[in-house]
Amino acid sequence: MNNTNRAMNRSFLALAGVVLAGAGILVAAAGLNADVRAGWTTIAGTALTAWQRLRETAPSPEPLGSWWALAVPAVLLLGAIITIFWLSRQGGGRTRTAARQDDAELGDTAVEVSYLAAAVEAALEGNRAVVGSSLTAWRRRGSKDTARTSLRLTLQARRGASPREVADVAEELVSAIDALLGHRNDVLVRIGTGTRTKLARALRAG
Amino acid sequence: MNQGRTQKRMLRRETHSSRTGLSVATAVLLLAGFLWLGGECVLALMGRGPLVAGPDAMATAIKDLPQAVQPAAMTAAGTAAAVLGAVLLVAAVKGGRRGRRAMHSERLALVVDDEAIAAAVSRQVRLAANLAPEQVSTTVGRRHARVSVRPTSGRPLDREALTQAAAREVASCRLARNLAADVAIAVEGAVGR
Repeated sequence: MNNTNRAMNRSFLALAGVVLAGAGILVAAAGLNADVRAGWTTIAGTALTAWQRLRETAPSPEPLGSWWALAVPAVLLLGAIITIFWLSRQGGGRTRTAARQDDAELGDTAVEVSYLAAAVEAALEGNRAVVGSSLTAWRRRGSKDTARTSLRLTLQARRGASPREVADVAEELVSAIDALLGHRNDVLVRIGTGTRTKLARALRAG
Repeated sequence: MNQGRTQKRMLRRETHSSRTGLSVATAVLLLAGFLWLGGECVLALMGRGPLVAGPDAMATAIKDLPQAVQPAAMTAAGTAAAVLGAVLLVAAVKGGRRGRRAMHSERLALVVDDEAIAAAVSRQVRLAANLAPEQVSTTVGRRHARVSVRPTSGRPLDREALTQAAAREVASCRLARNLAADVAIAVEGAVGR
């Protein structure tokens, strides 16, 4: 769980898909049809001539030749910057602070996620249904409000353990965390299977 | 945002793919393209030799592409690009469900892996039928939990009772949307042990 903007991801993929499919269909059509081939050469030739004429409208000293020649790398650079910005927006939002209380007189208190994770680990010691756990926290982009920090608890169920039994364990753990922190965070719990599940012995039949 | 909406949002995000991988891969390729073309333009402006081909040479090559390349090769390349584009488009539009589903809970946004449900159902069916672990396997699909059982030779099984055992386990999970349990008993039995 993180701050990835999923709608943007999908729009971007859709746009890239449409452009790629459109170009592919055009090339394939040029391969299949002689008229399209002729049209391709004509249109490309016209575009090149138009570009030459456009260059002459804003002449500049050599070696540039024309100010328009500068526009192409500028646009490409802008495209590269937008793409880098896009990449940097993926993910993010993970935080190590699970809760924080600022008090002018008593000072500021912060609770680290690792503290809660260790508490959860200790509480699950010897539990029949759960073989492993992990706890992370993330915060919405730009949000400083610590009540908005959300927790994500992953419990690895023992092979064959009833999911409801594990869910009950999770509910107990989370109410204990609520009591520890003094307020209720949004909590996501995932009951999963993983390497720990595969390595641990299955629940015995008896 | 109130509790219910936040919970729904978390559940939706956890049970569906974010498409980050594909989107990042596409963006990286696009970035490489931008940087290469930009680099060629700058080199040409400075009067240096091109990395692969200068902008003018590229423009001419695109113009003369139909004459320079075999039509069949163009068709093949175009089709490949179109298929790739269609794949991206499908990925953008389809749901991207992961093998997880929501469970009912007042306090939590609770998600369970399909694999965990399958393991629990297998175990209950195995206990009900008194079989060895490798005789029962379960796959959890979108709306069904399909249990396939290989009986011990010479010991017939009661399909109804096993279906009930599986359905009971599924119901006990209290999933947001219940699964139908479906037990299939193989005709061939396993050697008794």
